[in-house]
Amino acid sequence: MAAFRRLGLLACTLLAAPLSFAADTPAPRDIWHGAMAMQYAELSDASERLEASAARFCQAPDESLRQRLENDWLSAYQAWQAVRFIQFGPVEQNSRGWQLQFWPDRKNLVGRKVNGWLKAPAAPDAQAIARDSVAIQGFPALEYLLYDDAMEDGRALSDPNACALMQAITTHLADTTSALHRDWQAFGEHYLDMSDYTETTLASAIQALEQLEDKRLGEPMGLKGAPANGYLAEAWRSEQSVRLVASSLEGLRTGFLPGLTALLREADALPLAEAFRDQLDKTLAQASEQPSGLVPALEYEEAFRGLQSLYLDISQLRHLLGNEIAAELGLMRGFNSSDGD
Amino acid sequence: MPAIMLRRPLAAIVALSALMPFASVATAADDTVSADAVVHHYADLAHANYADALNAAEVLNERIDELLANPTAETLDAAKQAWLQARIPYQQSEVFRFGNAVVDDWEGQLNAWPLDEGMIDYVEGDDYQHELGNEGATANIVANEQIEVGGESLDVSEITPELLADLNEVGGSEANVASGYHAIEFLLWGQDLNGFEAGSGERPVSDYQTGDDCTHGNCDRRRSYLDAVSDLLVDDLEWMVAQWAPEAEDNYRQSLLAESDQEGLRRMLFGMGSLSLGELAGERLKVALEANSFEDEHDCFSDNTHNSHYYNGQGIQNIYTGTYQRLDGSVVEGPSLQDLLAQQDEALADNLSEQLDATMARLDAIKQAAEAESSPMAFDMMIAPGNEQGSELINEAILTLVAQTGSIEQAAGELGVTSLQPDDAGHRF
Repeated sequence: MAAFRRLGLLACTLLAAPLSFAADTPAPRDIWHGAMAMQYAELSDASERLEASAARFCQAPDESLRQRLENDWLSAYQAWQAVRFIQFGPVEQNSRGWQLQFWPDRKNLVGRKVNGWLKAPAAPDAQAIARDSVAIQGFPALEYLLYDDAMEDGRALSDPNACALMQAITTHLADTTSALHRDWQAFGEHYLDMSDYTETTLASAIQALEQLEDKRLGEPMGLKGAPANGYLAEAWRSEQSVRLVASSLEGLRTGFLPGLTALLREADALPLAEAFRDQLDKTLAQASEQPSGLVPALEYEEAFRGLQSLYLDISQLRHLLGNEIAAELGLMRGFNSSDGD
Repeated sequence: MPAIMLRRPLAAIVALSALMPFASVATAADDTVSADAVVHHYADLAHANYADALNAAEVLNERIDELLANPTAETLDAAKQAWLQARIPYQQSEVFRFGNAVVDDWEGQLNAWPLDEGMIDYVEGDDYQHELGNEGATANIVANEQIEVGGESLDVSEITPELLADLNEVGGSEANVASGYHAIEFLLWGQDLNGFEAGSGERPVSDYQTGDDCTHGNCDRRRSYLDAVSDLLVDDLEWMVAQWAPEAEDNYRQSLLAESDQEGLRRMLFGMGSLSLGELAGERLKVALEANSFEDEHDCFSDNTHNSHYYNGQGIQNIYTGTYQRLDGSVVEGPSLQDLLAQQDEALADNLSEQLDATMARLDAIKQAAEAESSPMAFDMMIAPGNEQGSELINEAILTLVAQTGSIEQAAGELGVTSLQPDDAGHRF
C-alpha cells in the first residue's frame, strides 16, 4: 500500500522539473526551492534504503546485515539533518519534523513508547505507528532499538516482535519522507509567488543556527547556566551527536548558501555572502575534526576544548546571519515556536 | 461634552497628544487613547491580578493549616478546592511572564513544570519517569534528612520555606522543583497513576496523620513540607504584588513606566504572543498531544489542566481588552491595547478581537469536555493515542492560538513596535 503511493510520486517528481526560468540569474527563492527539493529527494531515497535494509536484516539477522542497517540508519538520519533547517511549509504538516525526530526528550518518552510496544502481545504495522505518538515514529525510536543498553548489545533486536516494530517504523518513516518530498514540490508555486517566504527562509535558517548553538551543543555541554548533561544531546545513545551537527552544517552549505548568495548579490552585499561562506566552511572543518559523539567529550578536556571551538564557530556563524546579514536585508523577526521556555 | 473633559484643560490634551506618536489628531480628543495610558493600565492589571493570586494563596495557606490541624477527607478536599481556586488568577497572570524579566526570573519557584516529584516524596517506581540524568529525581526529601545531588550531600533535616527556595533546580535540573503550585498539587493529590484513563492522583489524607495512623511513613516531615511550601508561595506572591504596586518607589512598575511607550507596548505584545504560540499552543498543547505524553500535562496530579489552559487564554485576552475580572466579581477596566490599535487600524483591531474570542471558545470547549457531568474527558484522556475527538478539540485550540499570534505580530508592526525579540537590545532588526 505504502509502496504504491510512493511509486506514484516518482512520476510527479520527474515531471516537476525546474519551476521557473528567470533567464540568466535565477531568483533566490528559485534557487532555494530547487536545492531543497534535491535535499528532500535525498532524504526520501535514504529512508527507502533504510526500510529495505531493515527488511533484509529481519529476514535473516546477521552481523554484516546489522552493520549495513546501522549505516543506512545513520545516512538517512544525516539526510534529515541536512534539511532540518527548513522549518516551514510541508514539514509543518502533521508535525512531520517531530515525527522524524522527537527531540529534546528530557523524560525519555522515546524509551517509554518503544518499551510499550516491545511488551505488547503483537507488533504494530506502519498504520499503527502512524496513529501513535511522534516519539515512536522517527530516528530516535530506531536508535533506541539499535543502540540502547536495554537491547542487550543488539541481541534483543533479533526477536521477531522487536524486528517487526523496527520495520513498521522504517516504513512509516519512508512514507513520511516521500510525502514530504512530494509536498515540497507541490509547495513550489506558492513558495515562489509569495515574497514573504524570503524572510521566512532566512528566519528559519537563523533559528536552526540558534538551535544548534543553544540546544544541540550549549545545553548538553553545560554552557547555558546548568551543569553539563549528556542526555540532553541528540543521538546520545549512538554517540553521533556531533556527526549530526556536521550534517546540518553541510545541509546549510548545499541547501541554503546558494540562495543566500543570490539574495545578497541582489542587495549589492556580496562580501557578506562570502564572509558567511568562509565562516561556514571553517565551522564545517571544525565539526569534521571532532569525534562523532558529544558525551565522551564531557569527560576529556582536550575533546571538550575542540567542542568549545565548534560552539564558538557556530555562534559566530549565527551572529553573522542573525545580526549582520539580517540587518542588511532589513529582516524583522516575529514569534517562533521556540519562544516560551 | 463628556464630564471627563471638564477636568482636563484642552491645552493639556493637545500638548499631550503631540507627544504621542500614535494618537491621531483627527480623532476626537475625548476618544483618544495614548500608548502611555495603555501601558499604565497594563501595570494596573498586573497589580490587580497578582493581588488576587496572593489573596487566593492566603486562603489556600489557611486551608492547609486547617488540614494539618485536623486531617480529614473534608479538610483535604477544602485544601484542594482552594488550590483550584488559586490557579484561576495565577494562570491569567502568566501573560506578564514573557516580556517582563522580573516575572520570568521569579516564576520558576512558583509554577515550574514538569517536575520530578520523586525529589519531594514517595512515588510508585514502575510508572515514574523522571528527567534523564537528573540525580535529584529520586531524592525524596520527605523521607530523608540528607540528600545527595550532584556529588554534594545536602542537609534537609529542617524543612523551611528558605530551604525549599534554595533547593529549586538543585543539581542544575529544571525538573527539581521543590516549591510552588505543582509541588503543593503533588502533596495534595499525589501521583496520577491512571495514565490516559479517567482519574487523578489519589493521595490518602492519612499521609498527613500522626502516630500510628500515618501512611507511607514520615508524616511529620510531609506535614512540615506542606506547611513550608504553602508559606513560601504566599511570601513569593507578596513580593510580586509589591513589584506592581502604584505609589511605591524602586519597584518594577516604576522602571517599566520609566521606559519608552514603545518598550512598554513591546513587553505587552511579546507577552501575549509568546504565551499564545510558543508556550500554550506549543509546549502545553502540541507537545502533549503529538507525543501522546501525559508527562507533559500541565496540572497532571489534579487533572486541572483544562482550567490551566483556559485561564492562560483569558490572561492574553485581558491584556488586549484592558479588562480583568477579579475573584470577587468586580471588573478592572481602562485604556486598552484594543482601543489604541483601533485608532491605527480598526479592521485589524476587530480581527484580533474576534480571534481572541474564537480561542476562548475553543479553550472553553476543552474545559466543558473535561468538566462534563457524564463521561468527562480530562486533558490526559484527550491526548491518548487514537482519541480523535480529543485531538480535534486540542488541534482547534492550537489553530486559533496560531491565528491570533499572526495578528499580534501585525499589531506590533502597526503600533511601531519594531522588534519582538526579547533579547536583542542593541541589534538593528
